[in-house]
Amino acid sequence: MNKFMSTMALAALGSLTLAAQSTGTLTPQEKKNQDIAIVEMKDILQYGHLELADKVMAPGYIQHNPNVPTGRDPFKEFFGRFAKPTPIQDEWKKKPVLILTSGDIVFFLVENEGKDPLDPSKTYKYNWFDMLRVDNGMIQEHWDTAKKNPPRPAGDKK
Amino acid sequence: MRFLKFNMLAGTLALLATTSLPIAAQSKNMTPEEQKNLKMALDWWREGFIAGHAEVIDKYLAADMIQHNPNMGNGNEQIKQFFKNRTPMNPIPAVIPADRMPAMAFAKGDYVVLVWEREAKDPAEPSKMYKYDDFDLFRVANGKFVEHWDGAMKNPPRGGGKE
Repeated sequence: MNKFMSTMALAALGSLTLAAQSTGTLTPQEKKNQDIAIVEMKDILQYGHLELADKVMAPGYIQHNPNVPTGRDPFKEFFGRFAKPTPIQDEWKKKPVLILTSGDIVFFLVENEGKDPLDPSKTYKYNWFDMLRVDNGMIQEHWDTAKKNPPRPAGDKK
Repeated sequence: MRFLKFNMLAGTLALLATTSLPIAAQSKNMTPEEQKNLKMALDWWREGFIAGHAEVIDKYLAADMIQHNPNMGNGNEQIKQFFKNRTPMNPIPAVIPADRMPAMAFAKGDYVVLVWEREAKDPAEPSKMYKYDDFDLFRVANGKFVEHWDGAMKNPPRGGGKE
C-alpha cells in the first residue's frame, strides 16, 4: 500500500510539473478544431484511414508541403499509395510532443530522429511541425517543415 | 476588437492590421498574457535578429534556455557570440519590415509559435525557386524565453558541397 501511495504521489507530482507548462485554455470551438485536426494527423496519416478524408478535409485543401500535391483528392491518391489501414486507437502511433490550438489554427510539434551527417552510425533528434487550419468543421490548409526532395538518381538528367 | 483594450502598442497594432492579416486573425483568440508573449517574440525578432542588438539578448533569452536546434548548445551564450560579428542597426526599426514578417504567429498558454514562409532553389531545377515553411517555437516562463525549437536539422560537415 505504501508503495502504491508513493507511486500515486509521484504521478501527482508528474502532472503538476506538466501543468506548470500550460498549453492554454481551449474554447469549445478550439477543442472541436483540435479534434478534427487529430483525425487527419492520427487516424488518416498514422492509422491509414484515408476514407475519413472526405469527412474532415475540404475539397480545396491547400497543401504547402512542396512534395505533396494540393487538394483533397490528390492528397488521398498520394497517401493512398503508402496507407496500410489498421484499427484506429485512441493512442497515437507517434505522439506529438505538443499540440497548440488558437482559433482556427492547430499546431503540432513532432520530434524526429535522423542520421547524424558527421557520424552515420549515430542518430540525433530534430523537430518538425505540422499546422492545420480548420474552418466550418473542415481542414482547409496544411503547412509543415518539408523541403523539396532532391531528384531521384534515375530522374536526374544532368 | 476586444484586444484594443489591452496594452498593445498602437504601432504594433497598425502593423498587425496592415502587413500581417494572419497575425491579426489569431490575435482575437489570445488572452492579454498571450498577447504579451507574442509581442515579446516579435520584439526579440525585430530588436535582436533584424537589428542585431546583442544587448537585448539577456532581456529576452534566459541564460539557461533549453535549445532544441541540434546545431546549437543550451543557453544564450552562443547567440551572443553570433551577434559579435554584426553591426547593430540604428535606430532599431519601429516595425518589422513586411518581407521579414512571419506568415503566421500566435501565442497559446506558455508558448509562442512563429511560422515562416521561405524560398529555396528547386533541387530538380536550380534556376527555379520554390516555397517551403519553417517555424520557431518558444516557451515563456518568468517573462523570458526558456526553451526554443525550430526545424533545423544537423548541418552536414563543412565543405560537403551543400549550397
